[in-house]
Amino acid sequence: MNKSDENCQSEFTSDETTLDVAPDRNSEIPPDHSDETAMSVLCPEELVAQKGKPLIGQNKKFRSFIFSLLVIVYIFTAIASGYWYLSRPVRKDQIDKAYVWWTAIAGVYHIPVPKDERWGD
Amino acid sequence: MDQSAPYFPPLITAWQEMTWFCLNFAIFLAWWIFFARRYQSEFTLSERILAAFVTTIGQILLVIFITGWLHKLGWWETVVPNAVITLMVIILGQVSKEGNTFGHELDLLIIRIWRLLRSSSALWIIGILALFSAGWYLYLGQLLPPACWDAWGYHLTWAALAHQERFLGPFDFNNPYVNFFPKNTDILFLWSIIGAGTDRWANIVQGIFGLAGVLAVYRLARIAGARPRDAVASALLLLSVPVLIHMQWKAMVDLAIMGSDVLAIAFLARKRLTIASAVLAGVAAGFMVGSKGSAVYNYFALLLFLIYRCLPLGMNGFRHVKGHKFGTGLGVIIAFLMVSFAYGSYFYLRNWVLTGNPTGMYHVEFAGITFFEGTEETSVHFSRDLLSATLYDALNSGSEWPIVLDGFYDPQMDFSQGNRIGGWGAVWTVLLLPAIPFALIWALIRKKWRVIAIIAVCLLPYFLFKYNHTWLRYHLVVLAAGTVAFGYILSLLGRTRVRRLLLAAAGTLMAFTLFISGAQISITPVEISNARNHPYQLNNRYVSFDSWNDPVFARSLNLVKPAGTTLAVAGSPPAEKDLAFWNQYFTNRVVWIGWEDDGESWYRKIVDSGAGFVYVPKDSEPDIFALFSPLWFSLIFTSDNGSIYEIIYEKLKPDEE
Repeated sequence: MNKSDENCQSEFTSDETTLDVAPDRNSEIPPDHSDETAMSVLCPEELVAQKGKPLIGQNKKFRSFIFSLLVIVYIFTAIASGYWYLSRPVRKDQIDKAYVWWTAIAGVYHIPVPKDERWGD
Repeated sequence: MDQSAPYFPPLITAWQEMTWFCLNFAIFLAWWIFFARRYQSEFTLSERILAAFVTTIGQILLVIFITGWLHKLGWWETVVPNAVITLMVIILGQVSKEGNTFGHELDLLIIRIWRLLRSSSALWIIGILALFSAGWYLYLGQLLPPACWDAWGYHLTWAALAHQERFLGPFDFNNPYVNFFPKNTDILFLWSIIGAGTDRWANIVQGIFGLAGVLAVYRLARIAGARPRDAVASALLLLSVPVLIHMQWKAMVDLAIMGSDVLAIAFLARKRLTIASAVLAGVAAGFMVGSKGSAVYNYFALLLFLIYRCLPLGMNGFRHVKGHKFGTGLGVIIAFLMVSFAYGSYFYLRNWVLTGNPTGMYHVEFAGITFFEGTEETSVHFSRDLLSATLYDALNSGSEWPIVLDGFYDPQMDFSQGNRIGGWGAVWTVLLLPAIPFALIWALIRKKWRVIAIIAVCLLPYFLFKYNHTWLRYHLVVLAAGTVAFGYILSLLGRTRVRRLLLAAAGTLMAFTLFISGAQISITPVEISNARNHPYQLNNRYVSFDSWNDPVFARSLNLVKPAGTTLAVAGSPPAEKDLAFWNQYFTNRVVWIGWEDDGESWYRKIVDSGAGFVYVPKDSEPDIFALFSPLWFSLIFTSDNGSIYEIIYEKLKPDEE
C-alpha cells in the first residue's frame, strides 16, 4: 500500500461511518467514501486491528443504548435551545425589521414583492 | 451621496487593476497545479486546494515583506516579482511527470461536487443558501466603502500610509494602533490598494479566508470521521453565522485569523504528518499570529496540538501509521516552528527592537510576573455603549459565564461593526453548540482521540483568552468545533430519520438566520441603492458614508484631498477615523504635524511639509492659533468635528507685516 492510500483510507473511511448503533438501513446509494484520491482501496487491516476497545459499553447493546440516550438528549437540548432562542423579545423586532429591509432591497433591484398590510407601507 | 463631490482620477489604470486581479488568480492556479503535479500522492484534493491558498498568501506576503524592507512598495515592484515567482512555480509543477494535470483536478472537483449533491437533497438547500450568503456579502463588500471603525481607525489607515511611504512602518503618525499592531492581514489590504488603487477589494479579503475556512473545516470534519456529504453540510453552515458572514466584507482581521487557524489545524491534524504539511501549517499559523496579538492564544493551542500529534504515546489517536517515527515528529515540529516564526514574528521583533516591547504598547504580565512594561492593559474596557444594560450589570457583578452564553444567544438587535456581542445565530445555538458535548462524550466512549483533539484545539483559545469572551468575532474558531462535532454526529446517525430531521432543521435555521441577518448590518437600502447607482469610480465613498452625522464636514474634508496634494494633520478626526484623510484612490499625501511649542514653528513645519491644507481638532491649540493667524491660515470650514484651513504661503509673520 502506498502512502497515499494509507493516508486517505485512515482519514476518509473511519469506523464511525459504519457504526453499529445506527445502521444505514434505508440506503439506496452506497456510502460515499470517495472524497479524495484513493477511493477504491479497502481499509487496511492493520488499522482495524489496532483499534482499542471502547472505554465503556463494550457490550454492543449497552453501547447502542448510550448512543440512543445521547441522541435523545441532543434533540431535546436542540429543541429547548431553539424555543429559547426564538422566544427572545428581540426576535420579533428583528423579523419585522428584516422584512422591511429585504423588501426595500428587493425594491432597489426592481424585484416585485407582494405588499402585506401587516407590515405597513 | 453628494453628486457634486470632486472626482479624483485613479493612479492605477484599468489595465493595471485587471492585470493585478488576474495575477491573484494566476498565483493560486499556479500553486494548485504545482501541488496537483508534485503532491498528488501526498495531499487529497481539498488539501491541494487549501495548500494552494496558503502558499498564495505566503508568496504575496514574502514579496511585500522584501519590497517593504527595501522601501520599494509599488505596483511594478510587487507585481513583477509575483509574476516571476508564479511562472517559476508553473515550470516547477510542469517538470514533474507524475500527478494530475489541472484538467484532471477540475474534473475531479466537478465530479466530487456533483456526487455530493446527488447524495443528499438537503445539501442542495444548504448549498444554495451558503452560496447566496457568500455571494451577497462579497458583493456588498466590493460595492460599499469600509463599514467598520477598525478599518477606518487603523487597518486601512496603515495600508494607506504604507502605500504612501512605500514601506511597512512604523510611520511618523501619532496612532499606536497604526504603528504597533501586527499587520499580516493588513498587508493583504495593502496589496489590494497597491494593485487595484482602491480599497474596494480590501473589503472582501476576509471573505476569501471565510471560504477557505469552510473548506478547512470540511477537512477537519472528514478527519474526525464524518462522511463527505455530512462534512460539507456542516461546514457550509458556517456561512449562516451572522458575525462570520458580516466579517466577510469588513477590512478587519478576525475572520482571516479564524480561516488561517483552521487551515493550520487541518494540516496538522492529517493522518500523515510530513515536513510539507508542517510547512503549510507553519505559513498559516505564522500568518495568523502576525495578524493580531490575541492570536498568540490560538498559536499556543496549535503548539500543544502539534506536540500531542508528535508524541509517541498511546493516547495519540494518529499513531498507527507506518514510518511515523520520532525523528519525523521532531522534524515536523522544527519545520513548523521555523516557518511560523518567519511569517509571524516580523512586526513583534520590529516593535521589540524599537520600543523594547514586542507589542509596542501593551503591558505584558503573566502569573504576576511582568515581562514587558507598557502603557495599555490588554483587557477590553467594557462600557454601556457596547453592552446592553443588563449585560453590563452582570459583568460588573463578576459573573462571566451568563454573559458568554447571552452573547451566544444573540440578544441584541444588531451588531454594528461586529464589535458588539451579537451572537452566532440560530444554527449555532440550536445545533452546533449542543453537538460539542455529544461528540466529546461519544468520542471519549469510543476512544476517538482525534475527534477530541480537534474539538479541543478549536475550543482552547476561547478559554485562554478570557478578556474578550463577549466579543464573539475574537473567537470565530470555536465555530469550527461546533461544525466538526455536528458533521461527526450526522455521520454517526447514518441515513436515519433523525439525521434527515437535523439536516432539515439546519436548512431552516440557516434560512432564518440569513433572513434576520440582513437587517443587522447597519447599512440601509438607500445607501446600497446610492452605491449601486453611482459606479464605483464616481462614488466618492468617504463622503457618502461618513458616520459623523455631519455631511458638510465630510464634504469639506473631501475637498482638500485632490491627487498629488498634501494634507497636514494636527490631530485625529472624531472617532480616530484617520482613513478619511485620504481620497478614495489614495493619491493624496497625508503628513502628521501635531503641534509644536509655538505657533510659528508649527506653521514653518507645515510649510516645510509642502501641505496645502491642515486639519485641526476643534478648539485645540492649533485651531485657536490658526484662527487668529489669518495671514498664514484661511479657514475653509469649521464644525464640532474639527476645522480645515488652507495654508497661505509666502506671507510675512503678522508682526513683521
